[in-house]
Amino acid sequence: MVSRNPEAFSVAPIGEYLPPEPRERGPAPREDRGPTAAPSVRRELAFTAEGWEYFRVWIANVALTLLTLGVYSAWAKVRTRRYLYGSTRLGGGSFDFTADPVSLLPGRLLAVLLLAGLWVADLLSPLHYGLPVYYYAALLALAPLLPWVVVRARSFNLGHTRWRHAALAFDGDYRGAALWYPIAIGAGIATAGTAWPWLRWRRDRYLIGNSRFGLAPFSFEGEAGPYYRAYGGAAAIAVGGVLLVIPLLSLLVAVGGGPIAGGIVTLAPFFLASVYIRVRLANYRWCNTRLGLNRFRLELEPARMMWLYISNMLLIAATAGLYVPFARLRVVRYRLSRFTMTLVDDPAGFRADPSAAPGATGAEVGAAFEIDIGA
Amino acid sequence: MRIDARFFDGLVTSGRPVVLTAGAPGSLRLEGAGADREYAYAELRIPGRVANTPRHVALPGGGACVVADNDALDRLEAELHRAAPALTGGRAFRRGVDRIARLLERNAAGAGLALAVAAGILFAAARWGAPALGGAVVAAIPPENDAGIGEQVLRTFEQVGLFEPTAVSAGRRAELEAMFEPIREDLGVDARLEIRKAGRIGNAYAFPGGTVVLTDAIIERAVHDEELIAVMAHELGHVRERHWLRMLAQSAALLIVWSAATDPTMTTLAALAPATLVELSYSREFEREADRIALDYLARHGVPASRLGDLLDRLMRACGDRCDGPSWLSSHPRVAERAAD
Repeated sequence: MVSRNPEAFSVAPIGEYLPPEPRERGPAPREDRGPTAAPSVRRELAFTAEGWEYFRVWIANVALTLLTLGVYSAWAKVRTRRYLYGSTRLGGGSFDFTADPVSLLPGRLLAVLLLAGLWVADLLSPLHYGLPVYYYAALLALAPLLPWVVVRARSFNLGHTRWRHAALAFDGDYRGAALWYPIAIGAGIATAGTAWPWLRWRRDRYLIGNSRFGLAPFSFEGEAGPYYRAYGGAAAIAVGGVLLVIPLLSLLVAVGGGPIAGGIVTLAPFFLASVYIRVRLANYRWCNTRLGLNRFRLELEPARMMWLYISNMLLIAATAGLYVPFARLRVVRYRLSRFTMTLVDDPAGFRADPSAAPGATGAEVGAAFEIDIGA
Repeated sequence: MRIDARFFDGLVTSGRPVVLTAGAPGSLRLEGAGADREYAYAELRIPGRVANTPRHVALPGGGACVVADNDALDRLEAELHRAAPALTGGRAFRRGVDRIARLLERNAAGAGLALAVAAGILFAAARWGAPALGGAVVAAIPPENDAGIGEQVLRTFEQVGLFEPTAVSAGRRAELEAMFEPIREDLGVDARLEIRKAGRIGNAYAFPGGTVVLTDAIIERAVHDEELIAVMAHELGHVRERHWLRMLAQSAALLIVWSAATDPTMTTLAALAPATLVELSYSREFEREADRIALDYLARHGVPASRLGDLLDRLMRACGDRCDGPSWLSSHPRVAERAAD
């Protein structure tokens, strides 16, 4: 994932439900899905981060970022990840994010220049039906940059994510990224969205299938059907929510609510639908991702996740942002608590890839545009 | 000093327990798992401490030692740093940054200092920084650029159906034009008057580039032409000060600073709520400035100052109490406050 959103915190691509298995640790009795009947061990991630500890890391990042007119944000990003990854343990080894903040700076500069260019295009653009045409022309002109950003971002982020000092990696090529990003976005629009779940499925296959841990490749066994079901469910939530919201809006107008409250009420069904899609797809991706014979499972509940997001938003707004670090930990803690691995291989027996980790420029452009390419 | 650590060779994930000590002056000694080795301080990459998370000390050749005892590693690092040749360039810079970060995050006092710094900067940015930037942007962009944008905005309002052609008679329109022209000349701005029907909405707008729009409903509600003169002077005040452009620049500056502080995502966007309140306060400040310009014009032309408030009062009464909520949630100051000014 490229998004700077730590809620999307994940160490690899990734989640639908497999048949229920016993929750106990230890050798699982019936592991008959793989080609060999090797004994497997069920493992969970331990998460040791604490609210006030993370608050201190966060507020130091905020102060130094403001003090340095944003330059420190590169350090803030790395230190945030190092705190969250370093607080995540698997089998006695913690994860780490080993990027050098200085290597993020050229990409950040490029991203700021691109964003400033878009802002100027928006400001100077004539409007047609209220749409700034220069702005959209500039976006279109930047589209060929997208595959490069995707590949660089994912290889940078995975390449610096380590466990027992072995790094994840991404080998995706630009052709694949070009196919599943700008071209697929165009195809999704051209088919009025009906091909979108299929395209998302192919994109996930591309992203996961080209990822590795050390020398061990990830594979994705998911199919397109559950993607359609996830989007169908989200559409039902959005439509049902809007039908529910219409009487609420008239009530709001009757009691004299302002445009801000009206906007929140109107957007709420779409926000909940997007959370539903994210949760269902994250579950499905992880549950169908393999690392050799090793399997994963993520079992987030959409309703629980919606409650986390909504309560977090209210607390963040009420505390003028001071609740942000606590809100992040709540989400990460929940995600990790619902994540398990079924390991066939000995965790000490993975072979690392000693080749150098990739550069950061694309990753930073991706982060600035919030291109979510992973979980 | 002996630190228990785990050594990973960077080839497989099986670690070996090792012990780290200070070796020859300025060198790290690694004992255990067969061969003992020594590394010069300059060869190592010891990352700065983040809270109490384990650190991966990178060794030359791709291996690393994972150390959980952060206090001991801090002491060992300080000892190596003292004894080794001074760091230069990038290494010294990175170490310096890590130490400053650590100072702020290590305890409650540091966090308090960080909080005070952040709050102070945000307050200064909202109170002085953004308005100063807004002024600079207004000075830098020649007014000729505004006209095209205003035209476009007006056309958009018409295309989406917010504005319809006026039902006001041609004779009445000519009278209004005749009232408008001397105010425009007096305030020294390049502007023109447009009249549009906007359903039952009684309001007046100042578009970029100097197009002032009065709606049919506000013209109907006015019981005295001087009330409309006051409204025109108010809108021309917005035009003269180019408030739309100032607002755009100030809001952009504010949102950039606020976003940099909170790293916005779908959820943390909620932290922008206070920024919205600041934006509304800018808007009210612009309204007050336009009121002052209008009142000044009225005073110089012998028109009672109450004309401005009278029409506003009537518009508010027409829409009931709920139109005038708490002033901190509103883009305009309360009518009662404005009347008092």
